[in-house]
Amino acid sequence: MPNMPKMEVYMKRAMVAVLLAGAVVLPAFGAENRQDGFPNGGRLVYGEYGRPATLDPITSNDMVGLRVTELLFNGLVSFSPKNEVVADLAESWEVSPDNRVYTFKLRRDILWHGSSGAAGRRVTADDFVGTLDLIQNPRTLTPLKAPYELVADTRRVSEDTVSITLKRPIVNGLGRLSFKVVPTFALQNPDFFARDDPFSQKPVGTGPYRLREVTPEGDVVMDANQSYHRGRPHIDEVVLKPFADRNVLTQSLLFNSTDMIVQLNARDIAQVEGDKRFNLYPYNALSYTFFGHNLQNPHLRKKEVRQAIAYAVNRQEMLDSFYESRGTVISGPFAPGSWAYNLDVKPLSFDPVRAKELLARAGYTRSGADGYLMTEDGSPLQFTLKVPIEKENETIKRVVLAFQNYLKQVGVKVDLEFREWQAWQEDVFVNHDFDLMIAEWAFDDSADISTLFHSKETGAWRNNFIAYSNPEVDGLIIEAKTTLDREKQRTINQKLHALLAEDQPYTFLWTVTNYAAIHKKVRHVDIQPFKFFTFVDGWYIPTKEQAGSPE
Amino acid sequence: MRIATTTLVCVLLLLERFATAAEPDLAGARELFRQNRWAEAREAIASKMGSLSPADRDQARFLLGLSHVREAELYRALSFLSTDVGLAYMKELALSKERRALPWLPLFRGFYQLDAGRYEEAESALSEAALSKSLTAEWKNLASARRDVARSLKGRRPSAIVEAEVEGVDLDVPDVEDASDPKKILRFFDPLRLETLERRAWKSALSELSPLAQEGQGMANKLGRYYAGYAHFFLGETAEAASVLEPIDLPALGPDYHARARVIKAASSEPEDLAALWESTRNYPEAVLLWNELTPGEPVATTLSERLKALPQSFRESADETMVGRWGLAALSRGPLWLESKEVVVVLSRHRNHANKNKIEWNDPLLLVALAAANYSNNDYPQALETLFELAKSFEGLRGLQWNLQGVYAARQKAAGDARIAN
Repeated sequence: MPNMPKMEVYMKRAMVAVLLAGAVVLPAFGAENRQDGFPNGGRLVYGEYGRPATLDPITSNDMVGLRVTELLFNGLVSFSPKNEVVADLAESWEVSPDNRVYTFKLRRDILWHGSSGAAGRRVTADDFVGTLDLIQNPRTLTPLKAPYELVADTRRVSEDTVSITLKRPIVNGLGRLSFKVVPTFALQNPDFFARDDPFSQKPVGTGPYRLREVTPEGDVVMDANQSYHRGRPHIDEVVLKPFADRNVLTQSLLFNSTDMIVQLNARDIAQVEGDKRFNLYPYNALSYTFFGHNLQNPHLRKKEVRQAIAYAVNRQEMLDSFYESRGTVISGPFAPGSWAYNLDVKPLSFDPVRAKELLARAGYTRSGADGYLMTEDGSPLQFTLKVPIEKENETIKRVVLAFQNYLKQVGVKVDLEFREWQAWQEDVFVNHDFDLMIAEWAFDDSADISTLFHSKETGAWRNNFIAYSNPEVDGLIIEAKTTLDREKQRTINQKLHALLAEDQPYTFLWTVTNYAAIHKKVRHVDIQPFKFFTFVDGWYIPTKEQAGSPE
Repeated sequence: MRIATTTLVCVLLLLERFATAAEPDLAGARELFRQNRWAEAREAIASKMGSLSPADRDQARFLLGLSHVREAELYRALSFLSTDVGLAYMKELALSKERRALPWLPLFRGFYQLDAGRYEEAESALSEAALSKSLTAEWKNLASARRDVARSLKGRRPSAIVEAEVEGVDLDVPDVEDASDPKKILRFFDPLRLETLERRAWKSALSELSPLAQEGQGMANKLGRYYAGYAHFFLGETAEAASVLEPIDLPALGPDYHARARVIKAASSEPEDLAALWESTRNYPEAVLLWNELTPGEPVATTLSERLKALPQSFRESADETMVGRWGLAALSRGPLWLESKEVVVVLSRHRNHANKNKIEWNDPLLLVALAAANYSNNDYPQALETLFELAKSFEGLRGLQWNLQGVYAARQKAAGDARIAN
């Protein structure tokens, strides 16, 4: 009968699943040379929009930095292509019965990349103790501070054994200990990590690639780590080439200056898709774009004003016009691909009338001769929007110009200020010198928004740069972090979604699909959606196609 | 860039050749159909139906029937995925240390087991639910009724069809919301909702196609009969399927349709020479996929498996996306030992419009569901959820599947808790 097969074969599938679940696999990558039969050699030049401020995994806080540190560093554990936690620098581990103490047995064959003081030194338990101490040191400015507050004690048990004690059992304890290790002895000051430490520009790691140089143009040139513990990566050389202009970035691919663009400009997708030299790889980084409201601004502190901004903006029209509908308007602080997204919360509609009503309710009823609403002191209701564009990003430029125009229609003046990426980060993350800002957040699978919205996360280089403070949100964030019940975590996150959608600390815009464009000569490509290069050691270029790589 | 094309659209063009000049008003409906906006296409036709010529009315009716066929196939695919995900979610809930005694678990686990054809387990779980002290009489009665269905199916005895209430119901609202702990709200959705939506769509297809099969002229009559037979086949009404196909001059439909119709007819009565029928139809991919629905024994089973595995080699870039999606679901249902879900993703992705990867206007919805199922099997939960998020904008009844998939993802994710800014 036609309806029967689905049910019968399902039973076979279920049995297979049980068999696999019973086999706990902790793979150890002991081979010195990869045994997959693919050739070594070749050069891969990839283009990024913007340059990484730092090249170390402690102070780096952006996606460009995350990707490059994935090439240069490793942690105790990593993730398989199926997102299972697998051994990396640790070869095995034990967890105490109360799920608080994780004891890792380290591999004995891991050497720091050959360079200056660290050259050829073996990675030991001291390095892991030192790295966690470094992260927890109050003088280290790192976005990792909050995630690793959960560590109560890190101890060297022996040269090859390290134990990490958590303050309490947590969900994903093992995955959360996947931090990248750094050789603290190679730092200017081994106790804390300053962003201006020379190590942040000349890092030494254990990863599949090691830094050769950063050229005067800002290219980050990396060589294959010949003694990489998972086997020598196939591709000899990987180069990160930063671009200040998105249009030029795409052109660099089309004119063979690069082999790969990690995140292709939405407007260029059709052109690249039609070019037979390249493959497009869509990947879901659980990301979304937003306008952030600095709540230190007295006008933006009013919820009605923030809600008015959301109602004033026709997000679907912007998405259709500037991204050719290649995305989805969102309603809150999670991406629609996340388990935490609250499907009951609908995006606020485009409703300029409602926006004006809300602004009036907030006390902005008088307009000046120029048509803009006036504040109590008679000045126009005016905000500065900081936009991270150095030279050119046509899509974002259109978005912010449209935003400016939408707000003008409801009587709010917006001044645009375009800033180079590093300067923009200083303004936003350190000096909090902005009224409005636009950017994109990307998350790993944990959907952890605690650093974005908890009131304690407001210092320099912390993620709550908008100074959002809501005791109810704080309480829920703490509860979500401390519970071991994943369904409870989901309920709390969905409640957070509803609360933040109502409170509008950001104007939540949209999720767009990320597309990597990669030259077809690069084979066996497997992309980790968040860290991107996790499996780069398995990529290869056929011998015949290794010549003619971009310079 | 290519927009979604299907052989069904080609069928429409074929039909048009045999009809009088098409009424211009139908062009809009055809365009909506081509964009996979089936409900809108139906609305467009309904508003013009009275003013159409008899030949154009046949075309319009055929289009209506096909739109329901497409929708039925979509819900069938969603139901397949929903069963898999639902069982996984029930398992994750059962593994949770915090709520082992949750009274709803046996009930809904039984529902999903019944849906999956695991009748013995379903009978056991539903028996437990029927005796539960925590459930209301209404739920216990439902548990008893479904337990009886499981029992009868276990013995392969004919059973009454059970359906869920879907008319006039907000399908985003769960059947049960357990908020006994306000910090942990659990929702349960009856998997029968999707199956009921599927059955409803097949019946709607029949109500449009049957008149064509009886009174339609020429090609409209033949195609009407074929798809009416197809609908009966998937409703499990194999005798009716054979009956409606019987009078057609099958070769006149072309070799592909001829092969398909012969396979459908074979479902009602075991043909004398099954091997010969297989040999004469195995070169037609759509027919092979229908063979797969029949799960024939040897000597066909082994060669069917081989042929099915080799099918993607014959899929050209312009291959019918619905068929590719059907192949994907067939491959997934055979399990990872037959073909890794990653391989299925690779094959299906070749037929996806990457630039508009989740949009139904650019991708066949069934292909998207197959991709979501393959992504799910490959632990790529965000991609599966994102696809369903887009589909849910156009099709009702997906919320339960989305909820369960979110639950599986929440339970299985192992990430570190990282968030990064990007420009």
